[in-house]
Amino acid sequence: MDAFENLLYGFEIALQPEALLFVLIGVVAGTVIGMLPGLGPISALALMIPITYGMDPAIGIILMAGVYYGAIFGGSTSSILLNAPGVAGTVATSFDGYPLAKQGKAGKALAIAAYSSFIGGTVSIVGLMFIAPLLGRVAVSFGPSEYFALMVFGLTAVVSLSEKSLIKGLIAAVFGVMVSLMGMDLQTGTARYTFGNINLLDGIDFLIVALGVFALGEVFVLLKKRSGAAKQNSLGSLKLTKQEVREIAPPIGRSSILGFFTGVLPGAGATIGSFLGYTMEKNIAKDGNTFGKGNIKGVAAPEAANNAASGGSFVPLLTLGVPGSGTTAVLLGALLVMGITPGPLMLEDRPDVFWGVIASMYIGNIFLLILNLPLIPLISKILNVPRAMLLSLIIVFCMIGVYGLSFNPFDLMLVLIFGLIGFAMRMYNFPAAPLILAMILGAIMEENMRRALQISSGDWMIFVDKPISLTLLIMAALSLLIPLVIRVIKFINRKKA
Amino acid sequence: MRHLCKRFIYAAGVSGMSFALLTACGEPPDDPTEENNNEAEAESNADGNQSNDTNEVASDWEPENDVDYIAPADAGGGWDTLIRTTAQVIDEEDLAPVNFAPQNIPGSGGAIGWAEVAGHAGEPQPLFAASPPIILVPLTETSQYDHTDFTPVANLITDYSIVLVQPDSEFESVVDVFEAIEEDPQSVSVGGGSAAGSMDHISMAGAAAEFGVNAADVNYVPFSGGGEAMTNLLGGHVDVVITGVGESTGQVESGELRPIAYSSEEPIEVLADAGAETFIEQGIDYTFDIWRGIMGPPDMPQEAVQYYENMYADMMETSTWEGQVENLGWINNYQNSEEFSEFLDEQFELFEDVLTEIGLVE
Amino acid sequence: MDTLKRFRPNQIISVILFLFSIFYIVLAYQIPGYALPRPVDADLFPKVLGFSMVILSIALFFERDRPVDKESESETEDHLSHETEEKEEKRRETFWEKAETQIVVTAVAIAAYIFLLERAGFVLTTLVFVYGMTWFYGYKGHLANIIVASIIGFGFYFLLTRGLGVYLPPGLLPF
Repeated sequence: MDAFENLLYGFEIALQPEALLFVLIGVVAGTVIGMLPGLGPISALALMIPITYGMDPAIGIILMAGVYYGAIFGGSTSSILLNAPGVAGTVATSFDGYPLAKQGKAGKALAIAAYSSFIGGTVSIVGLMFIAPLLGRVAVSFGPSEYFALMVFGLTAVVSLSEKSLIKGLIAAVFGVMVSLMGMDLQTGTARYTFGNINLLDGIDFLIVALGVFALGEVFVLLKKRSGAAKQNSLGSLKLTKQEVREIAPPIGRSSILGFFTGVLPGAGATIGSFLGYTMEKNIAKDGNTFGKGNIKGVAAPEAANNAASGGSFVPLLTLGVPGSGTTAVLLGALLVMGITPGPLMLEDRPDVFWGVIASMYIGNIFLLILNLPLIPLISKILNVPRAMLLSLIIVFCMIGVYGLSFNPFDLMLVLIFGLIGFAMRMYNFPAAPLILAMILGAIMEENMRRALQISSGDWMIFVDKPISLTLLIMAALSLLIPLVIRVIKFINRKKA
Repeated sequence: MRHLCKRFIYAAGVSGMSFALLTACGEPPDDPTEENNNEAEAESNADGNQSNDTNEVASDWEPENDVDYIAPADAGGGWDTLIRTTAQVIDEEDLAPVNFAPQNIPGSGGAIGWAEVAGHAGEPQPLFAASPPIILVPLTETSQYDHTDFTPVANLITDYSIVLVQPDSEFESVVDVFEAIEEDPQSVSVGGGSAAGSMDHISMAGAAAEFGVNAADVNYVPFSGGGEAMTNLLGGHVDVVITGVGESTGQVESGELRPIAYSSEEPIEVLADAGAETFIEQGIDYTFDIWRGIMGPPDMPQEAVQYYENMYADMMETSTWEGQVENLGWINNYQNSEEFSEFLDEQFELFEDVLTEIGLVE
Repeated sequence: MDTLKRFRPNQIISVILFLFSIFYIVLAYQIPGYALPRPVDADLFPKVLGFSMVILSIALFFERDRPVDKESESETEDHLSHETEEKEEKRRETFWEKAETQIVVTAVAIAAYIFLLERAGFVLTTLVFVYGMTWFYGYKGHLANIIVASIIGFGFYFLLTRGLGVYLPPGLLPF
């Protein structure tokens, strides 16, 4: 059977009324879950496990795929409207989405998010379908040293995210890595910076920091500036001009592909994908300096990337049987309970599951788009809530969201602390994006650096001996040097002129 | 974890389909921090009522309230799977007059969940899933409670360690691996799915010590899960991986990775077919159980212990359980409270020896 | 003027950061070494980070702020908020209406919310918090406020615990 025939077979399964119903339930449920602060795809999927007990495995995983997609999309809504990312993967969306909402272009931002997600998702499904088996091989070529290099490359984005002051950006980044190192060290079990507090042993959840620094910090900033969350009653137009379409099309395309490959790498996933997409576009764009101030490309890129990455993360799961992310690990658990062992044999043993999932992803994506576009005006009604009430509601939603993560009041205190830190950072012009980026990448970088050195028995050459990690390190160096060189050239030119 | 149900139902409600799912989610609320019986009783009529009269129990004691049933970890892991699967079987087979309400209390490799259970001394619940970490984590001093603080209820299943290499690896047996380590410890990297000093590391180091290699010479590289470790073996980043038999089924069956040793006492057919021998068959007198059982709070009432150990014994006789065991690749290994307790003490000594040998415990 | 204003906080922050990084480094040196030799132990990264922070904080002390006016004008956010500010009625603020007071009160109120959540229960705390803060931020529609606060408090609680079997702390209320 070739891919096309397979896909037809998949559609046969995915178009059964039962499958359609569950795709629909899945994307809707996922979207709503994703909108709620603190709940992301992992929580959404974990919740699905008991529901899928006893279900036909093909239908069960179709439901889960729908939820996964929906949750990632849903997170973008609160990122854009409230600066409160519901899912880690949409933090980057808030960088430009929220400024757009503030300018009264919430509708446009949400529509762009919906279109970009759709395209990103579709690209990743096509990728999943045609090159999944090949990619599985590529994915395993990423070992600790390669990951280390990838994270170094990712961290160079700190420079371009630093906006006004490089020093302040770097301080934020260093602080982010510091936060990410708190808790028990996986390599040795040593507790670091836990101050003897058992609540800190597992470190600080990424979402606590994101909600604190972004959502709660924003509440404080709004109080300080005496302004509302966004222009009242201003959804703005949903329509995109031809000019705008032309503007965002290339970023969506690039970020979809980048996102997909990031997702394929075990351990990278939607969050990193969205950050890489964002920084790539910021670096490429001629108007890169307007990123962070409401550039539509700054919404399109991370949204396309994170949806593509979530599709990509199915590759190692379905082809190798190893989960590439926390989310797919939960999915793997669910599949095992249903009596399916994902892996290279799955394509032969259970083609209905494999192709059913792929076909249902197409359908789920279309559902997402047609469901969410008409819903945008409804969702945006939240902006009509009086400022005073909206502020207190944002606070309570942050609290409920984090309480639901761990049932631990200690974590709520952490949100408050990070809210105040976020506020101070904004007041004194420290950029928040490098902190978040460094927090995600820093811990992974350290872990893999130490793993690699453990393997090589302390020989640092392991990072340059391997072609992929060497390439990535060179790219990292270039991305630091090129802007510098350009600046020097400009400087010389100006002197000449 | 079950708090998540709300989000889904909320969501499903939006799409007007909540009725179909309410039953799936309509378990009673649990208080993750303290017991709350009113709440539980008020809720148990949601879906747990039909099971009242079909029990046969040895003692007259029966649980009155829904049982808080804890996986001291995130959703998706080994403890979580055990808790959810047993809860489901107990419910489907009407083995108890009340609900077993699974909940996750993640954190600190289990220590946060254990601390929670330890606060219920003398009570008949909560029950929680336990496995070697309850011995290992306290040994490496990250939990103030150890296995002696809790009441063993029943040991249920076991898994074994398996040593894997790439199909074209030069290592034909685990003896080859140990000999290579003996010659040059740096030359062989052994990946595993848990932190240094925890399960996978101990298992490999223990075998090495039994073979006669210095246990500290095993160059153990910790990954965050057996899956990640196996990916790294597939990519050739490490030379050998040690993980659980259950986790490796997919890779072994497809022939992508080659097993060279496993830690059970008796040979296992599937693995023997794949060309692997037990440690014992290779002349290394060593077994390692990745057991999973159920434990309760300190000083649990004797009659409650009796009730539950019988209930689990009954559970393991059911066909529903058999089906799940097969799907999940588990191996039944029932021990009642007393046997389990002795077994735990033996395990403690074994682990302490190995950890001392590696140099992690003085 | 502006430059001067901004210059000082930078220096104060740099001193705070410097002290913080010294504290961080001291703690880094107290991270126990692992019993087995590791090529890179748990303390290396923290030490590197700590010293980087020292260097960065010193650099921040001497960093010359670029001229401010150009940037803040190009920054939409500032621009917007200025507009809103101007639009707002210019009357004398009472003590409680000052931004600083509002921020402190909000932080304290959140801390109180967290403290009371598991003691007084979800419904009471949430109801009081939403109503109280909304009123405090200047919304005077009491009826609408009470309705919204009740919907959030009771609605969430009953939907979650009763309908869906989800735990939220009940606290003082008898249900």
